[in-house]
Amino acid sequence: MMGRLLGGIAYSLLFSIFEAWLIGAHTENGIKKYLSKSFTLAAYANSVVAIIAGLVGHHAASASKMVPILHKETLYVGGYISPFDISMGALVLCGVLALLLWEENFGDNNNSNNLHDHTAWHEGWKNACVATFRSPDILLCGVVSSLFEGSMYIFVFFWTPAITKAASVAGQEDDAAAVPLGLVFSTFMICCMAGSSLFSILVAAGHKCERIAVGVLAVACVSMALTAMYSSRVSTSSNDTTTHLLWTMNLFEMTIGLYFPCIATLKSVIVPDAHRVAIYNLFRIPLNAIVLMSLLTKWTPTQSFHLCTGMLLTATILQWILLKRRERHGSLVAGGAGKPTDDAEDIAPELELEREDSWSV
Amino acid sequence: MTDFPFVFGAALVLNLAVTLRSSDCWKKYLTSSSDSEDAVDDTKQDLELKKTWRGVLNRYLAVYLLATLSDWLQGAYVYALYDDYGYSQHDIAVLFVAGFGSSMIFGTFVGGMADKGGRRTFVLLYCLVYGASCITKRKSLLNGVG
Repeated sequence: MMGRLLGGIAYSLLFSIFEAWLIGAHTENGIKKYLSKSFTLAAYANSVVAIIAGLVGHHAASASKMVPILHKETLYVGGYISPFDISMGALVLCGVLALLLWEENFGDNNNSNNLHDHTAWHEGWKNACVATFRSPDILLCGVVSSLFEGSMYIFVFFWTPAITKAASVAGQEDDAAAVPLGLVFSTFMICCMAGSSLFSILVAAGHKCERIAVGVLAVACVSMALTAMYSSRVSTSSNDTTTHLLWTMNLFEMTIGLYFPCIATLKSVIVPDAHRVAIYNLFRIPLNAIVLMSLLTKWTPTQSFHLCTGMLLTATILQWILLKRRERHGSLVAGGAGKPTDDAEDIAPELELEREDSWSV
Repeated sequence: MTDFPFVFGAALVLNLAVTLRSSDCWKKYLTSSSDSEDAVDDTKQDLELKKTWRGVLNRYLAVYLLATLSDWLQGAYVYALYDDYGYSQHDIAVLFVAGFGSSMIFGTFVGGMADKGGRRTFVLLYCLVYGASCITKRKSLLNGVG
């Protein structure tokens, strides 16, 4: 239980501080126009790492049985523990590298010199809430990301049972267990990579991030609706259903690959740097609530996919509102190194504007 | 029988095509060397910036990818490990709920402090916390702390 509690905290940190540091480092070095490119590469590399982790984990777990080192069963090695040991090694290395390679960066530039201000920790949190609820842009962006990422987690929980069931009903009862889940996972990750690359193509072609996001969410919504449809047809299914299911799932994975660099670029502009991590974590509250809900209610994969479709539809509409809002203000996020001539100037003044926006209490 | 390897192959080809298109490599092969105006357009300052960017990105990726590697490794085997330890389906669900609940409650508060305390410090904290979470996966400890 303790492990899960700690893991939960680590999870929140993983999805906010790294991104925040990257944005901070870009701002400091005046290379903000490469930010979307960085996010693309990070997402791409992340998918590669996922595949590598899958392979390493599989070999480590199957290489040896779990055996106690000492007599009294205090310390085990091998088996399913091995991936965790490797993971630990990676973490140690990660910490060392962070110490060696990274410079410290703070959100609150104004107050970075009075670090002994101990009362401030909840202050920052409060300011983040205030900033979020004062700016409709931040709020919309946050809700959109919660909805999309929520449906992504639900998808992650349910794709295995959905596809296994489809394959088993389709007349492969004897080898239903033989669905190559590792291969399917790798296929997903490869689609994710293709999605990330597609994002950088779109940015290079001069499309604005808000507009890309609307398209991405709409496609995600359609692919989820199709996934739900095919998974509901499983009982009457033929082999084709499994294949169709697989393709629509792949399409959804591709939108995931597009989504992450896209939303990261958007958030890098919309969210004020001072409270970046706090606000990112605020966004994660509804996300976790959605995931908890889906874990606690015992829904079938099909029902869950339907829920996801609804959530994605809502996200699409909200993102469209965000697009219209920002269009009116004439402050769309270009986000790329695609057209270096005006992009660099485009982003910088807008950042100032956003910051003033949320500070003007 | 659904042709899983075929779908995998198709996705791989698609990915390669899109990646090639998104990277700058294709320009070298598809456009003639005469209209390489991109290279001329790159002022010295631009090149300097690009170098800085590469540096920042490499430093970032080295740390970030190790962090995600540890996450993917743990994430994929948590269920299998609990199952192996003989926890019931229900117990595992409870453990997962605890994880997300903790992320929702404690994670948010810890995150709120990172703006103030410095992001690098909190990356170190991440390593510490997740490392501790690894250790608690040991059976003997699980018996003790749950």
